[in-house]
This record gives sequence, structure tokens and C-alpha cells, in this order.
Amino acid sequence: MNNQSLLFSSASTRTKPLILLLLFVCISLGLMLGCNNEVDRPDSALEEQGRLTSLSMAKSEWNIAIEDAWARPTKAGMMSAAYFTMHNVGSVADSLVQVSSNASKDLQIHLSYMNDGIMVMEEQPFVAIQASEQIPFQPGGYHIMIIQPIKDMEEGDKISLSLYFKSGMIIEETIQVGNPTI
Amino acid sequence: MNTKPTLAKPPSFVLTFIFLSFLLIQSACMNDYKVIDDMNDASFELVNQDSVRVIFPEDFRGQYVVMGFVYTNCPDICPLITQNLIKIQKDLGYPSNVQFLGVSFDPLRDTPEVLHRYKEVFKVDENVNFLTGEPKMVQSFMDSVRVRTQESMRTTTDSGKEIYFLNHSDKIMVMNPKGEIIIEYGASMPSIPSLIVQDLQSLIQ
Ligand SMILES: [Cu+2]
Repeated sequence: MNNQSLLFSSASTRTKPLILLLLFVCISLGLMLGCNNEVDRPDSALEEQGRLTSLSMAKSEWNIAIEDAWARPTKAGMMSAAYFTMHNVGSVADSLVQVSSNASKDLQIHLSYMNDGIMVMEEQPFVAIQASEQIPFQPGGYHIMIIQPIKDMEEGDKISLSLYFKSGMIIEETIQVGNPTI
Repeated sequence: MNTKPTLAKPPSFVLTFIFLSFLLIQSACMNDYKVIDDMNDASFELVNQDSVRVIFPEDFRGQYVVMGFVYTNCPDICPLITQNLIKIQKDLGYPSNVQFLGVSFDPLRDTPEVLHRYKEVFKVDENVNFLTGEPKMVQSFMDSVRVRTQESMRTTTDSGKEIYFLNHSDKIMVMNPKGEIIIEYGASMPSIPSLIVQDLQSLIQ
């Protein structure tokens, strides 16, 4: 018994400083956290404000340019295609999801590519574009297919081209028939 | 004393011989194309954009033929092939001894009238013929030149039109005056015309 109590008491005297130390750590931690919280509040408010400004910035930084647009001359009822460079000069990613034109009711986003020696053309549900990215729509690659135009499309004519983006943005362009660089 | 010049002579002779034979071999290789396909084992009855009957290869014997394969409902790749044919003809100076052909692998839709309009749209020279024919005839012709096609994307458009497109080989070929196909190229790449023009110029001269 004595031995035990001796052992016990000696143990408790040894653990006392430990408990004190733990208490001290807890309190100081609590204080630190408390302090942190107090310091944090204005910080997170700033962050929130920053996030909001970046959101409104994002809207104003939506900026996709359609450059060097042209469409292939053709006759009514045949096939044409529109080409351009889609340039994301803004800071947010987006996706081209739909296209329309006064040249035809039937426009599709297509991609031509070589697969196992065969030239393939495929409809694309969308074309994603990252911030600062440039995507060429050019013969042999991405193109806007103009199916059976209602009128002849002669060199020098103008047609409308509307591009609809996932973000809700719409680009409306008037593009010329005939490639100026050829 | 005399041994020195006699020793010097043989190596220079050997070098000249090697150089000359190298030149000979090289010039021989340049004009000697391997036959890829002899088109003489069959004859194909086709029609051009003016519904004039064309027998292939008989009608073209004695001439070089530059031949591309297209379909007019193709808005993207085939115009490149057609424009390349036009460019080759122009860069060769519209030679009268070279025939240019655009053969359709979509005879169901590419009737002579459609091909005629296609020629107008692309402002194709008189001396370029676009060919079509009976579907079975066209198919066996395409098999013989190993041009593969497969239907893709049969869709109904927003306005209710049913349309389909074709995936296809991308080829321009050169047939020699004997009716043998001797060169094949990828058809739609922008670098192709200059290659073909170079090859044809070395062949024709
Ligand atoms: Cu297409």
C-alpha cells in the first residue's frame, strides 16, 4: 500500500508539471485561435470582397474575339463552311456551343481530321477555349458547316454569323464570302 | 621518279567513275517510278460533268493524268483537293498533254449537273473533268484505285433535312501514259501542289 501510494504520489508530482504545461498550451492555443479569428475577420471579409470584385471582373474580362472570318463561296443548296480564329483575349474559359447564320438554318460545328488514312469529319457538341487561347477554325480542321445555303454565296457577299457561348455570351458578326488571303 | 604520277592517276579515275555512276543512278532513279497500280486490267465507263461518256483508262492513254477524289457535299477537305488540282494545273502552265480529273465517290448525289455547278463554283478550267457514273461502276473504280469511303454522320438537321457525309481517303494520283498509277500523294495538304508539279516536270520533259 505504502509502496503503491508512494509510487502514486511520486507519479502525480511528476505529472503535475505536464498537466500545467498542457493547460498552458491549450490556453495559449485558444488565445492564438481567438486572436486569429479576430484578425481573420477583416481578412476574410477582404477576401470575400476580392472574390466579388474578381467575379465582376470576370464578367468584364469576358472577351472572345473572332478574327479573319470568311466563308467559302458556293451556290444555293450546296455546302459551305465558315472559318475564323477564335481568340480568347479575356481571362475566363468558355465554350462555343451553338452557331447560327442568315445563310442557312442548318449550321453545325465540325472538325475534320485524318484517322487511319481516312479523312473524317465530325460534328462537335462544343469547342472549349481557355483564357488567352487561340483556336483556328481553318480548312482541314475546325469549321462551321453551312448546310445548303438558301442563296448563292458569291465572293464579296456578306452573311451573318452568330456564335453562342456556354457562359451566355453571344458574338454577332458579319463575315465576308471568299477568303481574302487566297 | 615515274611511279609517282602513275600512282596518282588510278584514284582520280576511280573517283570520276564513281561520281559518274552516281549521277547516272540518281538520274535514273528520279524518273523511274515504281508502278503502284496497273489500270489496264479493267476499263470503267464513267461520265463527265457534261454527261459525256468517258472510258477509263483508255481515253487517257498517251497522256499523264493527275487525278483527285472528291464529293461535292464536302465543304471542308474536298475544296482543298479541288483547289490543289487547280493550282497544279496553273503552276504547270495549263499543259495540254496532262489531263486533270476530279472523280466523285458519291455518285448518288453527284450527278453530272451537280458536278457542272461544282466546277462553276470553283472556277475550274475547261481542261479539268469531273467524273461520276453508275454507283456500282464508281465503287469498283474506287476499289481499283484503293480509295476508301465510309458513310458518317447521317443526321436530320434543325430544319428537318436528312443529310450525310462521307469519310474518305485523301489522295491525288499521277497516272503515266501507259495507264499505270505511278505516284500517290496526300491530296489536301497545302504543300502537295509544289511536290506534284516538281515530279511532273521531271516526268514530262
Ligand atoms: Cu463539315
